[in-house]
Amino acid sequence: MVKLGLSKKKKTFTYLPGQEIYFSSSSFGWETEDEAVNVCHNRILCVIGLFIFIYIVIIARIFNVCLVNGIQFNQESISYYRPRLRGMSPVKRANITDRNGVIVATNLPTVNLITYPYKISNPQEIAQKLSEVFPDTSYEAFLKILTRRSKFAYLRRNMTPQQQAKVNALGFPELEFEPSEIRVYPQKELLSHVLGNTDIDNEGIAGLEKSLNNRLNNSTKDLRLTIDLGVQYAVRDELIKAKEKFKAERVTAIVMDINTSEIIALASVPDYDLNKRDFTDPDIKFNFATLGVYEAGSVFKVFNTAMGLDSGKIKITDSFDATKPLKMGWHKITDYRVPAKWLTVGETLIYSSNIASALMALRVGKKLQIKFFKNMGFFDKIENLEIYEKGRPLHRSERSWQDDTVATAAYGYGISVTPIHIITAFSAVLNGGLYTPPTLTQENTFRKTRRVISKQTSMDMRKLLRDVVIYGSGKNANVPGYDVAGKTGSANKLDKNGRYIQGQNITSFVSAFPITDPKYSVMVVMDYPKPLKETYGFVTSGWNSVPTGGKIISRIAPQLNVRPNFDVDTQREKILKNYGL
Amino acid sequence: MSNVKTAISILWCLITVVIGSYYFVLTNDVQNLEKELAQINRDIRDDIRDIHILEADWSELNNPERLRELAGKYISLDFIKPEQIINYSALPLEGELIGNPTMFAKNNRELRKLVNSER
Repeated sequence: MVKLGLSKKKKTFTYLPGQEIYFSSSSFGWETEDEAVNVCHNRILCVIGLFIFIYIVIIARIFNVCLVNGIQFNQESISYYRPRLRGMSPVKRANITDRNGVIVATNLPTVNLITYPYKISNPQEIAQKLSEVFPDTSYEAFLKILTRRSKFAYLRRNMTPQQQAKVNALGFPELEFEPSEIRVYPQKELLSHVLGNTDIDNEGIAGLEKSLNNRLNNSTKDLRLTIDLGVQYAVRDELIKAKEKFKAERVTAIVMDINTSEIIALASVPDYDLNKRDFTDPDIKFNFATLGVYEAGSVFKVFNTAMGLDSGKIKITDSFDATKPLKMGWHKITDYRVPAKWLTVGETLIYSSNIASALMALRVGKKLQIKFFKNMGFFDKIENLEIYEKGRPLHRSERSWQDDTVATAAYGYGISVTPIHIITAFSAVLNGGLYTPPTLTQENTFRKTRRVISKQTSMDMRKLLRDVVIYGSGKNANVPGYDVAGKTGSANKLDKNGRYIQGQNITSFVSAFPITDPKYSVMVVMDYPKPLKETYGFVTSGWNSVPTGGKIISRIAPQLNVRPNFDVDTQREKILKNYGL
Repeated sequence: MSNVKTAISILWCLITVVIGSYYFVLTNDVQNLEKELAQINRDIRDDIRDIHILEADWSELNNPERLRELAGKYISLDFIKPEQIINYSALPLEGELIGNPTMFAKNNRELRKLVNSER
């Protein structure tokens, strides 16, 4: 019934809702008289058209993608396909490295042996076989775990790959492996007090591991310290030798970049191998450098003199009467081996006179002294240092800070601080007068530098302290070529009841080099060094801490690329003489 | 008309078969590539883990104490002493050596060895 020709239907372009949309079938080559059939045809045509359209779009897109444009990757698809090499750490806790990138703490992937005791039917057999694989654990111990009335149990943590292979070869389906991690310290005892330790679940329990626990767990980026491992080794090596030689109870040393207060080395001996995780002896875990609060003695004269000169109340040419002891109420201040005469500011430091220092402090006064000590950070825990173990200084309250305290604090009695307090303040005195809180990591952005003394006072202090090493108690640390400046200090130890023990000293030596343009400061503290034949029975700082400090400086200075300042002409003559000219 | 229709149908069938086969081959290739990629990624992960372990090992081998021991055992190297660092301007001037050209060779063991061997 198909009839070619023009449609008789009238073309309409407006439709009511729901009304059939009517195409003229004549334009497609057929026409029927039956309206219903025409409607069907129209619908089929619509569907065919739709499908053709979809296929054309798909084909066009395939051509477009494959032949015209190639495959366009966006950032998202690239990151999906490209393996993330950087920052893709196989372990969860971040590494710690020294300032040169040498790893000092890292996690290694290991495997734990686990089991579900309620599922086990043959505990005796398994325990027997396991005790053969692990000879250090007894059959009974394994049996106890296997027969425990619990759902889950650890049989062994952190197995070696060989042990894992052996257990696997036993073929017990009840034993399962669980991926795990173990914190290891490749440098063993070298940084024990700085790094601290982690517990069995790899959570920090001491040192930087504890204070920066969140940082280490939340980012896999290496944590870079300011410590230089080579310097740290040299310092620790010298400390061990010194401890043996002087039979001291404890020896500690800090090396600091004098301008940035970055800690280059921090060692306290005795120390311990971090990998052994032996927590039985709390004594070796004690970090004297940051936790050991002690009366520093004469090294405080550095701060006393700086305070006096900076206040303007004392001039560098002033003299003080050290001919007789100074009476302060019931207390009498005396000197130890100091010539009884009027001493200049320089001589006060060279001879380390308690009397002259006390007189200086009394002239400056209580108010300024408290303000100065506060500014130097002596009244609070050391600011912003990342380490967990930080000692709180012991001092009198401002109310009870009377003249006798002013006088004794001048030479380092009546106020107790930690070695890190002293070296940081000492650096500020010599670097031009700027105090920067110390740091152990290169991520510390909270530190704020402040001026504590004027530049001129700092320059004067450099000269005065250089004289102490040339003429005074620091002679044994006068390393040729490095222009060392420093101050010694020996203070009586306190017994348990807070009384001074005669003959038992804590000796300190704080120094900086080269004083013409200070780069590094070094502090050595010895707890109860014994008298030796070669020290003529003396136990004061000049005989033990000072030579140790000197040895440390002569060893680390070339490592730290500090050029020795020898006289060129003398050096040349020496060379020519060597060649017989 | 029916010829045209048949031709069109055959054309469509051909296009469908060609596209279908091409698509099948493509899918297969992509699947293979993805498998390969997954394997490479696994290998990379393993390598990264191995590198991580080796880095720890390297750090342990570079322990200053151990290096010091080895240096003492195999090479006669000691710590640098400050006196060994010489200022460039402290070196003898050329004029100072006139008349004594062999002085350096005389005092220099290595140079002496070289001179002797050449004779």
